Amino acid sequence: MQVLPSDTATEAGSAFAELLADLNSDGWRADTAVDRLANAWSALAAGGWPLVGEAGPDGDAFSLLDVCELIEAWGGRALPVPFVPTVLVRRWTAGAAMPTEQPLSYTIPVGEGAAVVPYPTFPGTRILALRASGSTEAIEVPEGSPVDDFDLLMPVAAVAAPEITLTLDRVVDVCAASLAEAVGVAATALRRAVAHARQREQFGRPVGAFQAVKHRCANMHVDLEIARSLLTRLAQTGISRESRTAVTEGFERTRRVVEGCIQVHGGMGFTWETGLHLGLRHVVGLAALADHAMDGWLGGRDDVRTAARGR
Amino acid sequence: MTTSFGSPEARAFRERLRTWLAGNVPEAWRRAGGEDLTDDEVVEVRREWDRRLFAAGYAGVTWPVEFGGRGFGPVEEYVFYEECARAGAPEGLGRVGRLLAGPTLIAHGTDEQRARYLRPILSGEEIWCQGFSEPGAGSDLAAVRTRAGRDGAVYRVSGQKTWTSFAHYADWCLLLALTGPAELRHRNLSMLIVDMHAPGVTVRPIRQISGRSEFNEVFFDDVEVPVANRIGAEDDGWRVAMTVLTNERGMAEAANRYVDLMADSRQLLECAGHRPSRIGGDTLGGVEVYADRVEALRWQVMRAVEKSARGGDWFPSMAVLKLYWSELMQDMASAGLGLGCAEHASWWRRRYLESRATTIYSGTSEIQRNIIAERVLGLPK
Repeated sequence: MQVLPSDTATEAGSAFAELLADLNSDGWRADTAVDRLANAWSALAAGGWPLVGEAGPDGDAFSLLDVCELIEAWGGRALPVPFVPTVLVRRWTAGAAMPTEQPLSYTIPVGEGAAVVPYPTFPGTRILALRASGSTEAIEVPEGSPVDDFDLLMPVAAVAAPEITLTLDRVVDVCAASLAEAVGVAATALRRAVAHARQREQFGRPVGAFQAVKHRCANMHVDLEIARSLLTRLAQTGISRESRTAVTEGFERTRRVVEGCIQVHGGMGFTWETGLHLGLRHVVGLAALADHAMDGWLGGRDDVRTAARGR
Repeated sequence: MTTSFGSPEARAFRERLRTWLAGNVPEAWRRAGGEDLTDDEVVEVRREWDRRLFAAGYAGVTWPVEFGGRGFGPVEEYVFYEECARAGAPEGLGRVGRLLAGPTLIAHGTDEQRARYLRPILSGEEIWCQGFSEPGAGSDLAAVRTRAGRDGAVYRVSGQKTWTSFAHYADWCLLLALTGPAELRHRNLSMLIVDMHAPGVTVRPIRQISGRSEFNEVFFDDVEVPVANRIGAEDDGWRVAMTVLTNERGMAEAANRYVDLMADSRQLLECAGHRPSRIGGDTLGGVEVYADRVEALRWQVMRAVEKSARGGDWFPSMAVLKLYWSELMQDMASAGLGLGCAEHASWWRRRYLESRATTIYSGTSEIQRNIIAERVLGLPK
């Protein structure tokens, strides 16, 4: 039983957060130039960060909870590049020799012959589909496929892809990674809310001195903490039909934190350029992705039981 | 002492404890939680439980070995409380002594005081109660008015304490009293050991909104307390109180509540007309989510415990835990009330009434939110 990320993962998470603060000093941004994203991707690859989920030469890999610690750091400064799918695909296809700088994504089956793909249009992304037969093959997103970019930090495309599957282990990985990223978004949202409440003055005092604002921030802190506990449990015990609601509960709590952040910012929070909507859109998008993953497995089969993650 | 729930030491401790609990929790208590026993029988079971804990070396699990404890860290402590609750163990009458008075004496008492009071606390021979809250000092605990006036070698204590659990069984009271001028806030209180059998002490039960009485008010009318019974320096009682109020004592309660709430969530599912094995439809009216929320409490406590075992500050986690379980308990009681299960209606109604207390005692939800906002998040006072 692992309750906290390992010391190694915690240290790696701090180092990663520092790199991300350099790469993306302004917080979430929608209007990020393509070359800036390409540079960010190169910096991630140069640091070896896409490999964090793979087993090393001695066979010792980070546990899912450890990987989630790094993904949480990513969520706090997320850019629209396929970092998380790359980490997951490399974890699933350990041993497949692919250059570190290769962006990767995967397919989630949604109904007969269809799949959703996160980050379908990031330049050079290789999309790996797991066939029901067990083989993995690369698929293309056809030119002109409709891309849902409601979540500006994680666009998603629906593609035709027959015979696609996702094993329960991978469903757990997708849900845990998505929830970890949402927790990272929420942590940043709470930090920004508190920073704003300390410096924004109305009626001659910082708005954060009013108990109504304080108590809302305290609720956001509780929501964030409980979301982290739900994530820890998910990474340790997997998903069953009975615990699917726990994943939904985790995402709802992260969303409430971002909603609270917008409220604390008042009118400024509602503007495009303050950028809080990127976080809000992202937690909604991440929850939808996890829902797709769970629907594929937990919607139609009765024999699903806990996928224990015994590490 | 281990710092991780997954360690072999923690697992072995859990196994040994389970075996001991299986052979020691009284059968009558395990079955109905004492519901079918008379008041006298309940008291006897709880006293006997104190004695069994002591005999087996499970009293004062976190006390240092030199004072008769086991010297365990927070991980074993949490395992201890969770397993006791899972096994349906009674709550001993010695709880205030073990969790509050003993640690206070260990931290601030004289050698003579430790030699006199610690062992009877562990053995369950002497019962303690906590005299902090007053009618005019609730959330604002420093506003204590009970006066301890110096008169030679004694203090003369007069005033009123309230919400005092165990007062009618207690031999000693850990009393926070005013010894300095009222205007010297936080520097005018002293911590005293008061003999509950002394002349001038009167205990009166408080009747709660449910009709039950679990707490008391205690009146002190010119009660003589030897100066040697002061813990710490005169007028330094606030600091003494804070060292014990900010330790991990909230963990014991969170562990107990986790087990209570698990039972409640199973009851909710049953009352919703479905057994857990038949979950899957949308007919449960949403009560299935409570099982997840209860499990989140367990992981939240375990995360806080491991952080504290690794040297982190326990205090910020306590406010989150208290806020979370107390409001969850109320939500679940409301849900139970709304299910309209005829068989369990009266049980849920009592639960509902009694759960109103959870967001008030041990620091109201409003105070907990202030603590989080000001001391964890750093918002201005």
